Amino acid sequence: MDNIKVLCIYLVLSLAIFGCSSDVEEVEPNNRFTKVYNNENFDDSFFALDVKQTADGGYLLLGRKELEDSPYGGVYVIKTDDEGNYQWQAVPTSEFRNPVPNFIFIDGAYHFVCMAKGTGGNISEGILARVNESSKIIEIARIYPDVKNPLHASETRDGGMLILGYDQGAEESSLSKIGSDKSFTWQTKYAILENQNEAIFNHLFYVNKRLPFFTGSLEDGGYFMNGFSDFTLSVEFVDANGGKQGAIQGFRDEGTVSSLVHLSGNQFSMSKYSYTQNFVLPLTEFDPTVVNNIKDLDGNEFPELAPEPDVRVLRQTINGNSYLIYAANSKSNQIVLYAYDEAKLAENGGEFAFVGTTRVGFSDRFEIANIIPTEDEGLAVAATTYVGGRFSRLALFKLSPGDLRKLAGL
Amino acid sequence: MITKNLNGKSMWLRRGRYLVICAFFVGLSTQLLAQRMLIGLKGGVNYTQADPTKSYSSVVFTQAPLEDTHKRQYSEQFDNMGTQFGIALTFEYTNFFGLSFEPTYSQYNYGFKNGYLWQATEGFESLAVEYDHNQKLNYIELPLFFRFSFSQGPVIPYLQVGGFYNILQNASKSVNTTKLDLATGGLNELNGDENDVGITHLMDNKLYGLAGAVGVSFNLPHVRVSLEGAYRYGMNNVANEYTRFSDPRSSTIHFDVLDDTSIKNMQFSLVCHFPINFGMGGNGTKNTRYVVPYDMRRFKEEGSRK
Repeated sequence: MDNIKVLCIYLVLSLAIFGCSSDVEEVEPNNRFTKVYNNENFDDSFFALDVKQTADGGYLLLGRKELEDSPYGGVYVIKTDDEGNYQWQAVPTSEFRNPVPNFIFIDGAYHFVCMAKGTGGNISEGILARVNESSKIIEIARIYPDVKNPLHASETRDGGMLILGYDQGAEESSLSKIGSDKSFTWQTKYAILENQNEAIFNHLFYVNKRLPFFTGSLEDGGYFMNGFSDFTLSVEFVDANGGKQGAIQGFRDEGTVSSLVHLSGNQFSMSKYSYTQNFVLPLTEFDPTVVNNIKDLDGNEFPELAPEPDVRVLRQTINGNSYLIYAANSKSNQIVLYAYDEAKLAENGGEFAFVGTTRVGFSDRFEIANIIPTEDEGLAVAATTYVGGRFSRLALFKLSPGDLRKLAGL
Repeated sequence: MITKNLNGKSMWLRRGRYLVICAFFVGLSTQLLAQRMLIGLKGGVNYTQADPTKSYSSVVFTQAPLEDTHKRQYSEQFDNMGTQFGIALTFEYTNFFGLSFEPTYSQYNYGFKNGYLWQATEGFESLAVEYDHNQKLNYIELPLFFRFSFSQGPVIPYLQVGGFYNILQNASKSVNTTKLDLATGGLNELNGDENDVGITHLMDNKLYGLAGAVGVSFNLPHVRVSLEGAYRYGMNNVANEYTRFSDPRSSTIHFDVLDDTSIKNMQFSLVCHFPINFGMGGNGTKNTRYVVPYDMRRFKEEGSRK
């Protein structure tokens, strides 16, 4: 064999072996993981509500535990390390009922809103519960007798929080503002004008359809909530002092907004549903000081989404640019994420800005609880899953910064 | 701590590459000086021993399980049979010393079992699920051996020591599920829920390490037949630590994620060499005709005719 030929063969082989470079992102174990928090109890059922990243880089998961002796759920909190490994849990089943999303960081600790037995023995009073991470227990931080049947809570920019509630006796929805010192600041009430007990208590008891109750803040200091008002499930806007502004009126509880983020001025990013159809509106404009109708807000239909209106939207910076990330349950039992480029939305009048999609979960059915940004510029997704297709448990997905760049089409 | 481990691995990767590169150039230079080349085919069976160096799972327990059935039990080496088939190139520099390069297509198999149990605190309701996981890794093997032959007769015992560098071609995994569901009125184990999926992206695209072989060759007319036993000691993790949780399927208990795993592989092969001699022609010219290497008279006669 000619020496030149032999040399060529060696060169080709060397190139084949060493010339191929890999473009796999070199992640640390805390950058990307999937964890399902299982136990062996056949009768246990848990449902995820929220997740927050703690100061040590770990995660706090808020969940609901189904109880045998009450249609209201119990509280379930899990603490993990930064790789999602289980550290401890708190299951205070006797004092607390029906925790609602979300965790609120107030007064140096994570809190959440739930219900407790009131002075008359009825379970309806809203309370603020504190997660004591050092003692690994849940404590009562404050009782709010004026908040009945809390449905959702969220943090406000001034360090306080909003609580959406439902007063069964008065048939009213209420939006309450709590200050950063946990004091009750104001409450705005909305007459429902129709008995919606069945829909609301089915939601509270986790029976049949879950409704997209939520609260949030406007960029300019106002607030909004999605709750029953004036016969329908509607988004109601208030100013910084709780004064009523405009609304987005839905159609009973069969068609309304399922998630909403204020971008600026009259620009919003939202999703809506109509019966079993889900629509994404990455950029829509309306005046929040007047009454709008959900039918007038057009969006892109996403037929791959499951009929349940569980949608979350997050404004996230990726590589210095702002993106809108939607998370929703898909018909294939996964959680699907969509990314929209805000700059392209503005440039193209709300169109042609869909830049990527990805899915988390597989086969065993996953339901979105919340998505949050993480310290490493990644994303955490809290979900409920059904282990073995049967046992409902909490799950946590951590997406790496590279995963997010890929989602954003970068 | 984690960073140190990753750096440590990178260092080994670099060292491994340098070793293989050096081996290649040693092989190259030696081949050019070789007096005899044997080219042949080899094939046989192999048995893989998989050792988890660090365990991972997507499923974590919030209460200690009653039994450790969720922990993976790796199967014994001789339960993990695969096959290999390839080419054997041997360059004999002297009658004692040579080099052997044996590019081979090999399938390594290894398996493990685990299971999960859910039981009611009161009553008899329970569900037990057992998973039988089998991984198939298909590599192009590039082993390079120093070969030492201990006889020049018709029967030649030999020893080979060297290293190997495997390039992953594809990998797949099958999971067989067995359920005992006492909650739905059944008393029988249900079997047959089997999934077969690709996992190439979850594996490291290479496997390298040290290798050795012992064998015996039989010089028959026109062919040298060898029976060989070889051992490969993998020095890197076959699972890709960076893509471990990148597959959505890792969120299910029947798929889950792979452990950090080192591999040791034992191979038994039949090798058929067809020798070609160099430098045996007259006047020092190379002879490219096929000849039986120990039939020296034929070369001398051909040389004298010229």
